[in-house]
Order: sequence, then structure tokens, then C-alpha cells
Amino acid sequence: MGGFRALDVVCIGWLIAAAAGCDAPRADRLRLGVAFETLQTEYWVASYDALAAELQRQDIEMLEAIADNDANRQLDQIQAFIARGVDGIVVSPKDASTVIPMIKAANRAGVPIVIYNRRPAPNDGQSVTVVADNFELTKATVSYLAEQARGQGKRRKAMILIGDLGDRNAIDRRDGFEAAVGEYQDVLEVVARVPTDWSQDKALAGVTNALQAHPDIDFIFTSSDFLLPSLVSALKNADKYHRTGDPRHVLLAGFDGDALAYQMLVEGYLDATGVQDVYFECSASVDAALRMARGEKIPAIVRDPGFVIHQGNLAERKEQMWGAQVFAKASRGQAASNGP
Amino acid sequence: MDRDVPPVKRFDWRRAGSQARAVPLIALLIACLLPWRPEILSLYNLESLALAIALLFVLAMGQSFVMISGGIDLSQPAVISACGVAGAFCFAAPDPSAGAGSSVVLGLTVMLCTGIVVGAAQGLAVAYLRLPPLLVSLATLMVVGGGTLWATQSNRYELPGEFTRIWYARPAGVPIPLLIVAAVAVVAHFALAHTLFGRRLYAVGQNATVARIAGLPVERTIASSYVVCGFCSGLAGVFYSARLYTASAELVENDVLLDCIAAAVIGGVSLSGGKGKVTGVLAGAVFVALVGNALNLLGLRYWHVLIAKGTVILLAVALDAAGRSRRA
Repeated sequence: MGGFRALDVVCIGWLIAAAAGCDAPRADRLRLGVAFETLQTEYWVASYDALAAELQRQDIEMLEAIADNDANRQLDQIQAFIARGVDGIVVSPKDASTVIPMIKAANRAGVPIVIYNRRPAPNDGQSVTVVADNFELTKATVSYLAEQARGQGKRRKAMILIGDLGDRNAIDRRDGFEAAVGEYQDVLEVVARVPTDWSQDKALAGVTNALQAHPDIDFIFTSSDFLLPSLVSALKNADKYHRTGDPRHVLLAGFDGDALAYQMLVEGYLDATGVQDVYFECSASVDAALRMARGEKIPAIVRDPGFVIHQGNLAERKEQMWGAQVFAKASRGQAASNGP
Repeated sequence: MDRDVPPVKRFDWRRAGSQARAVPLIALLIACLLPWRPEILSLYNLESLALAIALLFVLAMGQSFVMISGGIDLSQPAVISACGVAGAFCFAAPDPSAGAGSSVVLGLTVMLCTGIVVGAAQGLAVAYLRLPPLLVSLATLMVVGGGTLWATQSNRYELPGEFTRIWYARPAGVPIPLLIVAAVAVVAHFALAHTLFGRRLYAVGQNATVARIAGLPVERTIASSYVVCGFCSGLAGVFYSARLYTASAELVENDVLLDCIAAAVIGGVSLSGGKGKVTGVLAGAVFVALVGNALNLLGLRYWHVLIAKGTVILLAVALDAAGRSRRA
């Protein structure tokens, strides 16, 4: 019985402590539930911070939930938002299919739902998706890189790192790559398509194998900048990591526009990256949720056109690149911690 | 043979209370949470909670059969995903001459059979080859998980509406899973409390050597418990895939095991075997699902949930061990 009490005390004490940590809601404030699948990459962290900042700017209460890559858990979290009576939900889902029950749960409860950065599979639910134009932006990025190849007058052996094909974004980026390559067949031959499932481990293993099978690969596109550390590691091991201008330089492009991509652009290792406009996507998501809550009709898809940043326009466009802002913030933090 | 096994006892409320540690905890949790989150008792939340309990109970019930026999099954997450994927393959290639209904029946049958086959394979390895249950189930987790990844090539399969209705349809306002799980609970209770198989299971779990000397079919009993667990994992595979409209190799994460074992242990199922009741497991499932629901409603982050659940299961296991040493 003594053990019983100990268990009771721990559980209840923990719950009270947890409950005490929760802010009491203000009745006059709107409340939005923000559910992210993960905060594993810089992109999601930047998105999460930008959404929090946007909601704070508009004096909207934010309820947050991170699912840690578990779609079941994310559905539980969406149901908890609904039970708490939120005025709208912004969800960044794990994939295109598992978001459908979340959309339907929100629809049944009459709560507006906005899908952030990942297009759901076709379904009969009502939602708005805010997403980058992955196909066009990838095509523009790869076309820029192919123009560089053409300008150098050298036929190149190309490789793409493909994301998780359960994710519509990965499919669109792969298709954008293939469409661009199709227009530059005179200078490009694709010799490796590396599946990564958005995993750095798989990317490293896949790229290492591809570079062993095709040591002459000299044109690489990664479907996410998040995979750049694996790519750089494999290139260094194969002695293929050199700055632009060096005859051994491998033409390299990515997608997202994170801080490492910015640093690599500045240092001359990366040629280009397709930048998703995180700030636009976040403010558009909040705006869409609020307009849906007011009963306004808005398009099912709000597209972020994004832009290609490269060595030629880096100085003029870096202010709009979210990764450059993250990089600057981290640099300021490091300088402050180092002290005078 | 019947004289060699313990007789069926009449229902003992005191004993049941000691096995279902969760009951007072559930009441206290709700009482503590109510002032902070009154929506915990809203109709919407109660339905979500009931379905979460149903899911967890099915898994914990299967696990309990194995635990009562003295084993453990760590392969459940992989088996759930494999069952979902096996069914999805049936939906992906339906017989054009048959209607959607027959495709659903086929898919369901394949999902449940997949669980039973994997359970039977584990049961044979543990019971007849005398391999340690921990290693057998861990190896099964890897083999089945890897096999499912290989079969799907990491793809996800969207499931047809005819199938997902199993989770979402509400005949007479009652979710179908609740009806199915109620039937499972009744059958499991009957099997454990009123059949020769149930009595053998407790006897084998309490002391397999003595049970063998007494002439009980120890191997068959142990193997059967894994088959039951496999069936329950298959049923959970049906529920999970219908709930998410999707089958994939990553249908559930491995930490579903933590919930499942926690529910069983908190519900009074002994990790050393020979003890456990359906009512206790149900109470354990209610408690664990309630903790998860409460933490979601409190808006706490995922790692807080993990810490809380981990703490609770650790304490429950410690209590279990302390109880056994007191009795010894």
C-alpha cells in the first residue's frame, strides 16, 4: 500500500506541476493550434519560430504540439486541439496520406485547418495548403546549374538525392529535376538517383556508393539542404569537395535555403539553392486560418513561388533568404558568448 | 489432467483490486485534471479517449497472454505495420470480378492471418526451440520490420474508404472498434478465467517446470499465447491503418510498446508470469491512455509525455518486484 501512495504522489505531483506550467487562456484572444511533425531540421525550426512570431505579432494564442515523426501521435494532438476549442489549426504533417484523417477530424468539428508546406493526397476534405512551388523552383534551380555546365562547355554526369517519396514535395522536386535535365540532355547525363527517405544516414551511404560506382559524377542536386552535411562528407571522402573556380569543383545545388547552404554559397562550395520563403508561408498560413474562421472562401492551394539564390545574386537576395538570417543570428550568438 | 491445475476461483474483489492498481489512479488523475482542463470530460474528448483505450487494450491484451505465460513480445510494432501493409497489398490488387466488399474482407483476413502467422513462428521458436522470448521477439521486430520496409520500398499505401469505415463508422452512434474490442475483452476473459487453456496458461507462467512435471502441455500453451498475441497485433494493424487511412512500414513507432507493456503491468500482469486479469489490463489501458490524453490536453511536449510514462512504468515494475519479494 505504501508503494501505491508513492506512485500516486509521483503521478499527481507531476500532473499538477505540468498543469501549473500551462498558461491560463484569455477568453478574448483567438487561439490557433500549431502541430508540427518534427523540429528535426533547421527548416522546421525556422518555420516554427516564424509562425510563433507571426501569431505573437497578431496577439493570437498559440497552442503547440510536436509529433516527433509519429502520425498517430499527431492525430491525437489534432484531436486534443479540437477538444480544447481552438479557432484554427496549422499542421505540418508527416506525409500526404496520414494528414487526411486530420483534415476530416477538423472538418467534422468545424475547425479551419491549414496544411503547412506539404500537399495532402487528393481527398474530399476542406483545407488550405500553403506550399512552395516545388516543381518550378527545383526546375529553375537545376536549370541554372545546367546553364553553368553548358557555359563551361563540358558534358556532366549528374546525380540527384531524392527525398521520401511518400512526401509530395519530394516527388515534385524529383520531377522538377527530371524536367530540367530533359531540357539539357546535350550537357547532362543522369547516372545516379539516390533514395534518402529524408535520412542523413541513407544519404551518406547512398552518395558514397554512387561516387564509388561513378567517380566521374560532377553535377549534384540534393532535394533538401538538410542533406548537405552527408553530401559534403561523402564528397570530401572522395576528394571532390572544391570551391567554384577550381577545375575539380563539382556543380552543386540544393533546395530550402538553410544556414549551411548560405555558408556554402558564401564560401563558394555551393552554386545555387532554391529558397522557400518561410516568412511568406507562415504569414500566409495564419492569414488563411483566420480568413477561413471568418467564413471567407480562399483557394485550396496558396503557392510560395520562392526564388533561386546563386553566386550571381547572393548579395542582393540574401536578406530574403531565411537561412542567411539564421546564420547571422547564430553568428551574433556565438560572438556574444565569446565575449569581448 | 484437470486435477493438476489450479481450480477456477470465485471472483475476489480484494484480489482484483490489488491487480488493478490503475483504478484509484484513474480517479485521481481525472479529479486532478478536471479544474485545469474541464474539456477532458467533453463528449468529443471522451470518444477520442475511448478509441485510444480500445487500441491500447487490444495490444495490451495480446501482450498479457504472453506475459502470463512467462514471456514477452517486443515485436508488436513491426507486426502491426506488417499486417497493415499485407492488407494494403490486397486492396492494391483487387480481383476485378469481385466487389469492394470482398476486397475488404480479403484484406482484413490477410491482416489478421499475418499477425497469427508471425505469432505462431515466435511461439514455436520460444516454446519448442527454447529460445529466450526477449531475443526471439527482438529479432522478429527487426526481421519483420526490415521485411516490411523491403516489401514497401518505403512507400505508403492509401487505403479505400470501404476499409477505413471500420474505424470511422458509427452504427447507432457507437464506434465499431469499441464493439469489436468489447467482444475481444469478453472472449479473453472467458478464455483466461473459464477454460482449461486459461488455467494451463497461469500454471505454466507460475512455474513451467512444475507444470511440465504435472503433465501439462507447456510448449503448446506457450506457443498458443504468442498466436493470441499475433492475432491481437493483427487486429491493432487493422485499427491503426484504418485510423490513418494508410499502411506503411512506419505505421506505428516502437514506443507503442512502452504504452502496451505499461498498461499490462499497471493493470496487474506480472512480468515474471502467472498473474493478470482482463479487468486489470483494461484498467491499465484506461490509465495509460488517459495520461497520454491528459498530457496532450495540457499542451505539453512529446518528451514530457515520454518522461511521465517512463516514470510510471518504472514505478509499476518496482512495485511488482517489491510485491513478489514480500510474498516470497
